[in-house]
Amino acid sequence: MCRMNVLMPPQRRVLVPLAVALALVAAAVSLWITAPGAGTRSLGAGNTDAAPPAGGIGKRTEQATWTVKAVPAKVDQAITEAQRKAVSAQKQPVTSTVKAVVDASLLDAVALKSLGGKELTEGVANALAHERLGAPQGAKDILITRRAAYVGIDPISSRRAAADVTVGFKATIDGRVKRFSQVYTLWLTQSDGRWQVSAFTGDRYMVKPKPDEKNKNGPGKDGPGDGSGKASRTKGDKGDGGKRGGGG
Amino acid sequence: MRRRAVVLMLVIACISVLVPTIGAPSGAANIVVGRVHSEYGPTDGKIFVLVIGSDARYGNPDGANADAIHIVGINTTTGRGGILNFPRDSYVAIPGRGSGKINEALLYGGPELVAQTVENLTGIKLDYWVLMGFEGFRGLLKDLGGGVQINLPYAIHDYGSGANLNAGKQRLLAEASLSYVRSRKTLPGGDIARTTNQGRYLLALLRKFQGDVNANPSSLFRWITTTQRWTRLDLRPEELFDLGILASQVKPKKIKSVTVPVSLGTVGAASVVFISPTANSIYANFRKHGSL
Repeated sequence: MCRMNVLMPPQRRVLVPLAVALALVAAAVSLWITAPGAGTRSLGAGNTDAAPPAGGIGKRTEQATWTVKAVPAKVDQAITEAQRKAVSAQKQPVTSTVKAVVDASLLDAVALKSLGGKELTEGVANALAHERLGAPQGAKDILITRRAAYVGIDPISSRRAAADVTVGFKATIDGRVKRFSQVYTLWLTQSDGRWQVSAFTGDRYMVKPKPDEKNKNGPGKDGPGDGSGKASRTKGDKGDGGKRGGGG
Repeated sequence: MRRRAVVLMLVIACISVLVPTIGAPSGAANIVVGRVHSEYGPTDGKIFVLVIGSDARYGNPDGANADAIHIVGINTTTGRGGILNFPRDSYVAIPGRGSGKINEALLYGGPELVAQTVENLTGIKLDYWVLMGFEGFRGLLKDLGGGVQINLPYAIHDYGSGANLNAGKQRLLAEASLSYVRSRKTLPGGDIARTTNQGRYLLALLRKFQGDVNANPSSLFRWITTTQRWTRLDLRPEELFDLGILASQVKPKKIKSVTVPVSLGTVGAASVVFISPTANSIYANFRKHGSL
């Protein structure tokens, strides 16, 4: 706050406070623009708990906070202190990749494509897009109710990791609110300092809606969708280019 | 390369079943893996691995016949596979040796000659061979821990192998597993039944692996380090990782174990089995699809 001089000419006594007020407004606007969840943001590695709002651009809805645990994987030998430190150094980058990939697969198909060649190998990106792992087709107003990941990092190399991810979300499909649970296994490798998902498996389950979410047409009617309680399993690995199937 | 790695891991993980024997070299490594051809490449996404068990052992280092011979094949596109089992007394052409029992090829020319013999017999181009002995099998299973869950169709009480197993579902620990895959003397069908049992055990081991990895994906790293501990192989860790991922995705139900059809006979004073001509269609199918 500048100190106003009582000896200032009259014109300045008006202009200075006005300038200060404008500066304050400008600062407030800039803070609002850069706040998480506001406006449009693209996902990328390093994006934290703030995912794009449900429903895509422009709609602000808070998604569930990520619960992530990253640990050195258990192996058949003692882990040295140096190996433990090396694993610790990778916790943040690998968990960022996991979060980015999962969030993109659920909420932002455009961002998912952009992750190809970066957080995803091209083969996995194609497979994810092809298999539509994530929200079912036609889903709107996606709200993630739970996001949890348990990541085991190979302590021998610190360049390979496996992530066990569970996501709960609800979405509106054909005017009906449906709840889903999705479980991913992501296999990650690191090269040139970048973590990539090189293979994945996923299962999606439909979960019984809450009483206040039951369809307007009556309870028990799920309508089109995944089929009550039946899992759809998809797999992909880096060489697949979108093909599914065991072993690649 | 990656596809091969997958099948190879599958084979290594299962290997223990196969063979009782081989005079284990000093040191922990008692499983050896090699490439059949220096130049190789996956053929339409199919990988074939020859798994060999030898009867050489401590106290009988000169004996080095192959007591177990299996081709493990996987079609990495369809996720289907097969295990083709050869009775050890199968009378076949052995390159450079005329004809003889298939298990003698190991003694004459090592795993390479066994691979060549099997390739000539089946027309299947093999990618890797894996040679397994007692110590590697036992050590691998002990370190993995937890035993292997298996459903035995009949009881086995075999004085030769030390097996004392009831029929039904049970968990076989390392020693029981070894005795199971070695048993033949009291089995109806003798060595042929043993070969079939080994295939059954292989699939049980795959289920164990998948159970561990499905429950905790990062347990793959423990499997990798344990396998490396008991195996001498020229695969890079990245290949083992890829192998493990693919092995975790192959469904045991999509892998069929088949023993080549044979008939009993003799050649001179030796008891042998003659492979039926109908096996040719099995070879052709396996060669074409990578599955049975």
